[in-house]
Amino acid sequence: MRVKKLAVFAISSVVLSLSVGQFASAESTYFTYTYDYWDTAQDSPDAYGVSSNYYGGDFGVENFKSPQSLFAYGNEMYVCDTGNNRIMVLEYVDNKLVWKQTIDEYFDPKGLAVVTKEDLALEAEAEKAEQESASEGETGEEGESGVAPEGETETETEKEAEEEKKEDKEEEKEDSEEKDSEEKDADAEEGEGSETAEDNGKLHFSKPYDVFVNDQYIYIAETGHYRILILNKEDLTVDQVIKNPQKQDESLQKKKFTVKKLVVDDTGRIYCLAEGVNQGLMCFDPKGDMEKYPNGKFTGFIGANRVTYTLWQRFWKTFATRDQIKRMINFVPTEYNNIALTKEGFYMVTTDVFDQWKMQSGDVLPVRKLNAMGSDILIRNGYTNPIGDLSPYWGNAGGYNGSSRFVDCVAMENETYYLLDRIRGRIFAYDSQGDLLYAFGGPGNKEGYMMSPAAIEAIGDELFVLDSLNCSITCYALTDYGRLINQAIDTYQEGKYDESAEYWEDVQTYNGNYALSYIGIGRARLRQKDYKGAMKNFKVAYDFDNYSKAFKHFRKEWIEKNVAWLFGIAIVLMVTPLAFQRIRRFVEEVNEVE
Amino acid sequence: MKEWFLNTFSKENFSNLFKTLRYSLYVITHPLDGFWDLNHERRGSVGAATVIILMMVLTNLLRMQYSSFLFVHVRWSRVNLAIQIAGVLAPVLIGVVANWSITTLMDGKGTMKDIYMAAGYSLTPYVLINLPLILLSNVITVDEGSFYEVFEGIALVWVGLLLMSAMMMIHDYSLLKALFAAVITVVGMMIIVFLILLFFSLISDAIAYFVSLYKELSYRLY
Repeated sequence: MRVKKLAVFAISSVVLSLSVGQFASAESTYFTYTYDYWDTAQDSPDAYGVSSNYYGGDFGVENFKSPQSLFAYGNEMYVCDTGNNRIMVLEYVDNKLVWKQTIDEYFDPKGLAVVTKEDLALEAEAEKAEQESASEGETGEEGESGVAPEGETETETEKEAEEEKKEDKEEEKEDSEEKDSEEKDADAEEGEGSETAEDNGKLHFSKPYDVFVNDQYIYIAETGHYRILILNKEDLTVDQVIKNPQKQDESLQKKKFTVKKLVVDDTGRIYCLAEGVNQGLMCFDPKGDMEKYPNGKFTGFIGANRVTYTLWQRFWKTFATRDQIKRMINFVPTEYNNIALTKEGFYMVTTDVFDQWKMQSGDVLPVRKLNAMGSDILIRNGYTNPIGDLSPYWGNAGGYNGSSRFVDCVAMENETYYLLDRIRGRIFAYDSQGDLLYAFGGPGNKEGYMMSPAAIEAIGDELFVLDSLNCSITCYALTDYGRLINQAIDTYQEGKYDESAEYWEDVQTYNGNYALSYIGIGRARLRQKDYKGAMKNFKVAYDFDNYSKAFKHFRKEWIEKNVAWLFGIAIVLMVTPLAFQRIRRFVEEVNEVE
Repeated sequence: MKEWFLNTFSKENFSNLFKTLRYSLYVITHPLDGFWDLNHERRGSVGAATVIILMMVLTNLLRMQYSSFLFVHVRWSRVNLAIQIAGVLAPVLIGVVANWSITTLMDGKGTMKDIYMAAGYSLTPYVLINLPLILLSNVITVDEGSFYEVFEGIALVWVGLLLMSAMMMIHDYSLLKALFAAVITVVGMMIIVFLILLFFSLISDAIAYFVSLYKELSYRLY
């Protein structure tokens, strides 16, 4: 009897706890939070909520396969479906993504995209060089030969290497599948070379990794053939092929031109990031010198990550053996891993290989805003630099440890930007001054959480996040709270400071623990010459500079108002000792006389 | 009892305390001379030294509460009054003990009482500068913060110099020997802290052992 009772109790408790769990998840919160002055995470209302979630099948086509990139153009969303060798064009209408077009083939009537013998020779050369370097470092991990994790501590390197091994294996599998199709392609190209003109040179992509679109062209980073394809948007014919920059720059020799990310500026210049190239962004001028460089003129690098190493490391290096040096941190600038264009035409670049403990001091900058000269112009006035999660929260929690590592960035109209963290699947929103607006999301496959986020894009205020493992696109829409914050920022940028303060006050009705709202209100008070009110608000938010600004005015006003009193006190202080002296002398004289 | 009370808090004692306290002003401006006379001429008193140390505790507390938030960042949710007080008292007392332990081995002339008195008197500038700084911090902005920092720095350097000259005068050391003794004293302080921590962790382990023994027995016998 007793056993039975116990069993019933156990089962019912399990059932109860399960149902409680379900209720909790039905509340649907995406763990939105901010960091306060003391680097402590403070819960915040949701600024973004999931509005919809899409798999490839939802558009009536085959599911995505390890998709790598998103690109928003107007209300069109281009999905780079790398595993399926296609590009999907979706349209965002009535708060829904709908299928518009599937680009899985392109046309090459002029024979521009044919893989020539020269291309293959360069590729083979690079392959050979790679293998040589791999065999040189036999003892080293495999990962080092591939996407070398640079500037990392040893343990991390090992972990990363393991991860990369896995990835490599997956890729190898894909590669082998790929090779079959490639060979077929190659056969088709070589065997039926004469017939290409007749069937209009219909070709298929090979591992497209990133896509960029403007009103005339579609730019595709085709990693399978180590080149960038420029297609005419209208009829998908090849306009130009960017390839073989090795011929133009010595530092690129014996390297494959594996373009992972690219953007194009208004003048048609291409800025791209290639695997294993760490000198910064590669710039191409496709139409620069068509006669001399039919495959795009390489105009140089911009914005290289600078190498930083301390005197101490240098000192040790002189004593270390060759083996130790090999195991030490490689003194090589790190590669960027993604690039995004802002509306002013600057480039937001992110990097995810670095020593995390150098981040809070500012020696490592995981996100930068580069101008055309390649210098970093990102404003970092927040409590901390924009680095995602702060060190008190880096501890191991369910296998996720270490700092945030950004994989993508999207810059919005109002100069805020959103960073995508691949470690914990979170999105961090920063404003133009570098203050954290909010962070949300998390690891997992619950709605609004991410397994392996790869790309983030925005159409209007909606955010779209591509999950390369879950093969899905999640759409986040602003909540009332998030909209108020945006309105407060927008109105401030338009110069309507008082209106902005009103929005911030509304924000405070949702979240009284939000430092930015106090700063926003304080700024308006300062403009209204309510210095005391401004000081009060700035003090709450620990905004030292603005507080000082308000205090300076307050002090000046106070002195002007009380100048008479101050003078009076000063005079009294000066006169009284003199008077006392006089009196004393007088008394002494009287005494003497007596 | 009553007699003792009257004797201790007699008018003479108070006037003596006041006199020795006033002497601290002489000491900080004439350190070598001042520290020599402090014990050799009996111009200082343990009471005055204690008062100065307590003033330092008070200064630190006032500083936290009344300084402008621009210069003193206090996270009030994490403040523990006992720890704040101990944070001032413990280094002073441990330092005195460590210095005494070292200097008796290095044929220093000072007794524990002398060292304590000298330490107390050396801290005078800290109190004298930091108390007005609290007022100053409330009328300046971040841009003028360098004034604040400079004064804070002066206070520390002054205290340091006083401690060194006190060491020289009390123990009859040369400058080099005094410097050496200062370094050793810091090491000694670390050792004392280590011993204290070790002692407490051992004691807590021992207590935990007996508590678990008691629990085990009580479960068995129950």
